[in-house]
Amino acid sequence: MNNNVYDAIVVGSGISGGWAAKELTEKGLKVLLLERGKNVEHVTDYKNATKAPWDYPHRGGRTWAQEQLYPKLKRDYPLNEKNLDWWVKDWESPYTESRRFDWFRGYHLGGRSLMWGRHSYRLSDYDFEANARDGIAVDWPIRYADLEPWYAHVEKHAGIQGSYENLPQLPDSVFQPAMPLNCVEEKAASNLAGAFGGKRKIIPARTANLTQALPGRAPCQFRNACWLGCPYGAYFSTQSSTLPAAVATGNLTLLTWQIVNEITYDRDTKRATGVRALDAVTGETIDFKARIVFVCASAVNSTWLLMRSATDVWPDGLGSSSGELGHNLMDHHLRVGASGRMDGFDDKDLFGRRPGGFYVPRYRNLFGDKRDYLRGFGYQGSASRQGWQRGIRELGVGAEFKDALVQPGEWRIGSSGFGEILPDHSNRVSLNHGVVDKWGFPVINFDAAMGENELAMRKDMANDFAEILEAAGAKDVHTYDNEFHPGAGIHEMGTARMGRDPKSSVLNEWNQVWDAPNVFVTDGACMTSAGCQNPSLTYMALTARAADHAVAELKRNNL
Amino acid sequence: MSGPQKKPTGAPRLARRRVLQLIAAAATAPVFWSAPGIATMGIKRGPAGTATDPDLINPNIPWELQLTDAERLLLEVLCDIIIPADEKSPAASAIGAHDFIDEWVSAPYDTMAGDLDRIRNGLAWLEAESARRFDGEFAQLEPAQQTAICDDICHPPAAKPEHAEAAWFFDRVRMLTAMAFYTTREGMNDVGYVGNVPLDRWNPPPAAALKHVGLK
Repeated sequence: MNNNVYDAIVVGSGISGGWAAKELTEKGLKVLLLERGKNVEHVTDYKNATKAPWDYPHRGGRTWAQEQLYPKLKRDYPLNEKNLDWWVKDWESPYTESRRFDWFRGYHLGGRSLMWGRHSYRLSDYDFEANARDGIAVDWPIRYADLEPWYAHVEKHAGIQGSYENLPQLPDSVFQPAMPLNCVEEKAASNLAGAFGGKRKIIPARTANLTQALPGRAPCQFRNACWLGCPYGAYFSTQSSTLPAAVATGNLTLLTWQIVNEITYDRDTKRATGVRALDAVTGETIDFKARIVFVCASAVNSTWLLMRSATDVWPDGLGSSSGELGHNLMDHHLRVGASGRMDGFDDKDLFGRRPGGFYVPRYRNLFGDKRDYLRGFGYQGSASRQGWQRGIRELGVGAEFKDALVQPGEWRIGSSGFGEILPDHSNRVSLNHGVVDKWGFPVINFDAAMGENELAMRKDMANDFAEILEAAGAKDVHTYDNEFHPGAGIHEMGTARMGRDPKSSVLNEWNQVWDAPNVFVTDGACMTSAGCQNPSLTYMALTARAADHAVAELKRNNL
Repeated sequence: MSGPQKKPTGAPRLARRRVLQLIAAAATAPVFWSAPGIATMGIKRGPAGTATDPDLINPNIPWELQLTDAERLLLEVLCDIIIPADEKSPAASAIGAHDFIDEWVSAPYDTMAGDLDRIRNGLAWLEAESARRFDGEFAQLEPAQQTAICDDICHPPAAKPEHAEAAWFFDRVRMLTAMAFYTTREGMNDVGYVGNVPLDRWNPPPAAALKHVGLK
């Protein structure tokens, strides 16, 4: 387009940015989608997708040298050689910590939509009303009824498999047929149904994996290798789902290697005029103009971008007039739960690899239950048979040893809780001007920690699942609570929250920045509270809803 | 399935000159170690630019192997006693389990430093025991004689006090042999692992299975 002028600019190509590009182009806008990293071509760039474990130089694991190169990434599973290209290089994009935050990023086309966990659950009014009911932080400016049609809208296109359960705290999506529980999970669910007044349920996990074909996408092939990229397009990603739709309109311009580092702002009109980007290949700085800007750079980076914008008006950046920009950083806390052994199924084995498991919807502090902490948690888990790695100390040598090892081991069932983290003003990110990244930009400093509410909740998260397993018929039940630091849930939320009042929130009910109504922030940054459900589905719905509003406002000449 | 290289973590062993260079370099390293920094620290860079651990696809071993020829030969015999060939799959030595263990115990990592001592001492014990009981080298003993020695040490909880250390040695060799064997294509075929192949369905439990456990 002439002079770099578009109707809309979308910053970031992950789950939220892909949705913004799709919705805006389908409504006829000429859209520029800017991605800071490299292109990842659907299918052809999934170079490890069909590799067997023995095809990797280190069997898919990590090396000592990689641990030196990736001091942050090594904190958890993302550091492995199977999809290392898709995780940010620590030495190019460092960050600092006043208090520890594990930050796992993907700077490439599709962002973390390529590596996400795919669990997809709607929020309910128990979540949207939570802050108001508990009298903390600020009230969400929307309710479930505002988002319900948009959940349905995105689910039909993304493809969410799951079972209809009619639970008020976990509304049903528009589902593709569920991937069923396996026989041990089924038995556990059945045993559990009679306990705890039926409040604790094991249901099939709801994930963005197809069980029925959608246009251009085949159903899941049960390899459980989603994080390598799916050659069948069977899980939702920007590449498999939203980008093809946007491209098909003829209205999309996509540029990679564009590091958007400022939203250009006109203080007279109180509107953004576009964005400024550094071309990471040529080093050139380019100004792009548009009538609206969708900021979908992932929660913390969207806030980083706001903090660098309109500083001539507000020294702390666009949206900082509320005093809340960068604050109320949230995640989901996990690595706590229980596991046990299930007897009586030794003649059953697994066939295929399901890319999900079971889910236990939240039941704490609901329906009359009252705990000494606020909110609650769900569980994600599965049952499976152990392989040759199980304890082999008792097994002798020779043919006896070999024959024993090729038999599957005992059935184990276990899970981890996913707990809500409260919005806390003191949990925050800020710009650290003393440290710069490879491109000379100041980096993010994290200052966040788990609070008393979360720590109290973790006791229930471990003990409750032991109770669940015992009721489900498991033996040899053990609880665990492994150390957790915020960020490891890889569900960064908050730092530019929605609200009803510009004095206490950054965004309004349509995800518009109060101080620049033609700037929309629709990724995790906008979250007013966290719920305990995996949040990406909510970003999709909020993005589609905001895009619809943006186009309507453009037509009314309000932007 | 986790690979054999999952374990190597931690700081390098002080005994190695290259590693000493590394530590000297690390002392002056910036807050985060940059890729070029790693290169100047004397760490060998692999084809991908980062890997310095042995590459199992294009075999290279970036550190000096520690076991003697005699120790390696003895280890090879022991690996094949632990995992012999059968009609379904080869013996452990055929996939190089003894090479893997040599590479493992020679690694310059703290976490594996103990393994070199344990396995070297254990191999020495094995030869001494063979000489004491059967007046020969372990590799040359009759299978029944080899088995008699292994039987004393292959079950650590039941081992006699005088065999306790040898039993822990044997336990480690057995674990490393299994790790080497069952992470190869041959070993995974043996356990029925079909590899990363597509399936067109995920079957729910069959009706008979559900009935068997009292459901439906």
